[in-house]
Amino acid sequence: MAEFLQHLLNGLMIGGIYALMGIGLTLIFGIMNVVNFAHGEFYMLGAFGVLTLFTFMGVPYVLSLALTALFFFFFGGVIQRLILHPLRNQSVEVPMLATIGLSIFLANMALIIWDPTPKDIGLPFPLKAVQLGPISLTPIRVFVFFTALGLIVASHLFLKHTTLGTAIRATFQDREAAALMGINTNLINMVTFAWGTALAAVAGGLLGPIFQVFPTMGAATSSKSFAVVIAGGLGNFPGAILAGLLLGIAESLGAGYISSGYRDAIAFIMIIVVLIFRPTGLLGKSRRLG
Amino acid sequence: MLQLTDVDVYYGQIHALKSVSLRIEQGELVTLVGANGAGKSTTLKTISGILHPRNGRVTFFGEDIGTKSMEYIVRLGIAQCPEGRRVFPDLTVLENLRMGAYTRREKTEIKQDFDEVFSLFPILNERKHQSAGSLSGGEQQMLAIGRAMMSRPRLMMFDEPSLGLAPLLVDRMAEVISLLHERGTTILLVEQNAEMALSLADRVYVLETGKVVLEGPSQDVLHNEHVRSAYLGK
Repeated sequence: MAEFLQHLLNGLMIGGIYALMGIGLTLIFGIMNVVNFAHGEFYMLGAFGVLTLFTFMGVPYVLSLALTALFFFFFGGVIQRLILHPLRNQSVEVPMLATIGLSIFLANMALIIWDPTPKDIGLPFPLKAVQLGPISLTPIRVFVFFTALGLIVASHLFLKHTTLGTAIRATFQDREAAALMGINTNLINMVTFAWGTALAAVAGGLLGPIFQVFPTMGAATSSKSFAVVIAGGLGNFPGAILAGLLLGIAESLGAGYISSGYRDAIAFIMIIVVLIFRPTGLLGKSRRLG
Repeated sequence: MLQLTDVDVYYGQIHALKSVSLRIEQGELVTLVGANGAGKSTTLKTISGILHPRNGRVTFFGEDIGTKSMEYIVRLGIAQCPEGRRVFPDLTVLENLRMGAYTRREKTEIKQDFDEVFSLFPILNERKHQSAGSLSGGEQQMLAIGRAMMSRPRLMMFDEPSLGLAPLLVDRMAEVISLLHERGTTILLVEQNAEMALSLADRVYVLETGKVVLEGPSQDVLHNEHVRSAYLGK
């Protein structure tokens, strides 16, 4: 039982990160109809951002994370404006190809800047685990989980209770009608992409200290984010959260009880099962926001 | 107030509006009648900036708006109540109305407009926390009108407000439109229901295959032989 709970908690932590990746990706798809293949690279760059600030420059970890988030918010906005905005009236595969190109470019830039050897960010918090009965929790894992949870809740509250958030939901439901209200839908695209990019970068910065950081780390996370988005239903915000948490738990339990070699296969098994039994996603309705 | 001068609009290769000229004066209720595909909705879309003219000018209080963005045009005071209502189905009634006031910031004025919409359509007040998608067709049409009112427009355009509504509700829409007109809102009404449109309007433009074929005060147009046989079935 203790072992099971331990796997469950580890799964929730990883799942929180998958959910964070997933909501960014699903929002970008839902609002802009862009399949963003560079999402994993934003995650990788976020980890390198924290490595640079925290490990190399000695900036406190939480501040490094915040600065990374801020930087990638603007970075995402610029990428959207320069690369995706000019392609907005093209069919869906054109911007998709552009993001594939972007992901290759970013991964290779990281190779040039930081070289391919995996790096350790180092420990931002004391290693000493907190014992809760039979379960032990390291402070970094607790921090990762609650930060991910906090950002998911904040994203939800933003969409639900602010004028800009409501405008994003309106644009999602009917772009032309939203424009008839005087909503600047190009600005909505930019904010959505910037925000999704910042969330992915934070996800990388959060998991960085737990695993190692290297330029090709985005690929596996990218495919898992897609698994989360598909399982949750394309453009479905609560679905992405649920699918992210479930994927994390399934991976953790699978690695613990079956074999850790199957860890990465579990995401794809999950997509296949969901697509067979609930083709529009776990929560049934394929498109829903907030 | 609003003037279109020799406007040509294309959908790709299709020449949808052919040298259309029309004008609307402040306080008027003008209607466009015509068959399906005559260019009525295209005219509205050109005014609201969804489409842009290839030739010709669209001016609003003298300012050329033919190349302006939809956002800019809304801010100038032109609101459109689009065909098929187009309310935001997963937003609540209240959120839909708030989106109508998206370009405005003065809180007390917005509050007044909420009260005005709710006094005109009490049912919307009762359902304000329900999602718009759960409303009936008639209620959604009221919401679409209320949403357009929330921008406090100087010109309000209606695209087929009676479409798909029961006869009783069509009468109600006609009442609402004439009430808004009496309160001083300038209105451009597009209707397939020519009888309703002609009974409300001060002036009429008749469109056929992208051209204005007839214009004049609605009393005159009502007695035109061609209009009587083609649009009123008499």
